[in-house]
Amino acid sequence: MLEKFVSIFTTENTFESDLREILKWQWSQNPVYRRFSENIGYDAASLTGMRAAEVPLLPVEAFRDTRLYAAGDHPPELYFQSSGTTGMVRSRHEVAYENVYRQAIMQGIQQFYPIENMVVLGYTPGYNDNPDSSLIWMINELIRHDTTGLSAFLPVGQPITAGLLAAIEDTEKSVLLFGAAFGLVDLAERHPVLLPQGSIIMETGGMKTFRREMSRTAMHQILADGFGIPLEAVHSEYGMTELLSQCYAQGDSWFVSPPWVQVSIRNPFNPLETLPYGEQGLIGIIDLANWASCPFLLTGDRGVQRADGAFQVLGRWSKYHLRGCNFLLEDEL
Amino acid sequence: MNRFLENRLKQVEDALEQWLEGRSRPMAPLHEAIHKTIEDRLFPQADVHFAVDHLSASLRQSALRRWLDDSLSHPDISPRKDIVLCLHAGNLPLVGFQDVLAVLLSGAGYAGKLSRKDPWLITSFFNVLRQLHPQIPVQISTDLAGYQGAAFSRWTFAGSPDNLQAVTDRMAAMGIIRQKASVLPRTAHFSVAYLAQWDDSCLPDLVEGILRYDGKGCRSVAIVYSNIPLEQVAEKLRDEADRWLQVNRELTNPGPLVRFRKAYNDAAGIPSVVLGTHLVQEGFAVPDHPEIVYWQPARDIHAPRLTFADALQEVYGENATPLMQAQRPPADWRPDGVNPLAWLLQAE
Repeated sequence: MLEKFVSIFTTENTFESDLREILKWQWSQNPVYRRFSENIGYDAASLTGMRAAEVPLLPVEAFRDTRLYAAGDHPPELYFQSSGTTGMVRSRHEVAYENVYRQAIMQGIQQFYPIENMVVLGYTPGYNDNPDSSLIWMINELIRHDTTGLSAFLPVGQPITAGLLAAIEDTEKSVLLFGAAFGLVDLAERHPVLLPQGSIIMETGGMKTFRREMSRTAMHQILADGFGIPLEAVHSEYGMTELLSQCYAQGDSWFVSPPWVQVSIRNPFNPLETLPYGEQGLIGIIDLANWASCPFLLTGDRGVQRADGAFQVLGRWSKYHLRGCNFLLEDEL
Repeated sequence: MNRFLENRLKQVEDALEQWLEGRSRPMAPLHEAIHKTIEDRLFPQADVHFAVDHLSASLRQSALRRWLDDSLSHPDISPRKDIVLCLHAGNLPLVGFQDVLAVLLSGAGYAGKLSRKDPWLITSFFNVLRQLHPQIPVQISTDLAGYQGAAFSRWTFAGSPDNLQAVTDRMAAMGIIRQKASVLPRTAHFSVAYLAQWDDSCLPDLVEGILRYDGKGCRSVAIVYSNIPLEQVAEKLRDEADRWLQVNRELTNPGPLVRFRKAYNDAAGIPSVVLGTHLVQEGFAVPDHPEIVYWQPARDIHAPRLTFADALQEVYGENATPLMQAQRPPADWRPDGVNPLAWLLQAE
């Protein structure tokens, strides 16, 4: 079964042809997605003939509300859970094949970064109390991949030591510093250092150690100043427990996806409709690496896309604004 | 009470009486406004009549006098006679009318930016007021730019704190308000019904609370907390909604979002029931779309306030605001827990 979809990470097939195969697979193996599609009015034939923009996307909370698993009798090799407060139901993503996640991480990042020439440092306060975090697993995987032995998680609240920086300089590699945004801000403000030339800060969003509101631009400036790198070397990662693949924004606010992922912007009032480029709506994602759980997901994030497929994440879809009084300046002036 | 305020109260009561009396008299301002509002399809016909009916009922029997008396911090307070700007929303018919009354009863003059979604009804009241009491300063516009340079020092804002700063900055830049003008913003977006001892007799009020104004009012019920699961009452809820819809709506088919969510709920095994254009479903999410209502176990009456804080308008149920008042608030109801008349009488 695993060999069946290895082509998604290669150029062997087009995205559309892999999509058709995986739609068929999901129809036959994922009872939740099949019922959802049937309830909307599709059958196997109509579904498998679809273009990406037409594919019905399952709300991402399905990973919280039900079990999404499409690997038959093969038991999951991994599972991840979203973080959450006590009593809150958390999303759970069962991963049938560890190697598929590994490939999604490594081949994904290699699309964008010369990872072989980078030492990976992880700084993830707030995630340490979630042993089921997919982010931690991903950073671990990147660390494991580095042969210098210098890649590691940084101790929380401690500065990056001069000794570590000197050792990295000796390897002539640069640093890829991965971490939740506000944890990195803390580190930058409390323990500023100069990272080696060519280093990248990769903030993964998240507000795990949130202590004040800040715009993304202001946050990136603090990171650039605190780590002695140019502003354009502060990058962002867009990923979530429910997705095996990641998208990256390399120095601006536009995220680009790996070839096996396609993003669309869906109408929040009619999620079956894909909005034209430039219009804001809900971010919809087809991540073919998710073929053994569910690759067709509608997120709760607000976004906008441009014609080359890159997209911006503009925050959560506004929680309340459609109910109650809502005077909108743009409607009135 | 200060004589000026006493006199203003009588002027407002006169105008209200004459305005409301004209609702079924051809050529009367309110009659015409209702007709135009319905003709322009700004709101469903039944909602317009419901709003006017309720206003007639709630403003009877010295309701305004009681509200004014209760709002005075001391009986001889001297009213400020400046002009207060009101930015009105348009999510339901006459939604800003309480602000209008509060401004007038406070002794101030009124300047209103009416919503383009509800331009006729409030205007028709001012047509009557101007005719009877032309000395009361009143300005109305559906265009904010018309107030450029006016430099108001007090204003009310029917919008959420999320966009208050942007609106304030823009209006200050246009000279519409002064730099440090006092503002009364709105924070609440929805209400909840807390029904810890389910009784079928609540069904008409619950359905009214959910469906009236298509769920767009901050007094609309967005979450039901109940001691019984939704499935146990789904059929009764649907029957009651069918009766309500027959009387109140021409179109009762669910829109694409409700169909989508129903398809998802059924696939994921989440109990849900379609009530015409709305969906009531078990599970928890932050209320956003007015067509989606959540059904939660009733475990702690304080939980909704703790969870939603300022976003929550009312908790209906036993030992709380009566559910029947959801869409029928008294004249002196407190949006966001604030008495706007008291605020206007006291605001510096």
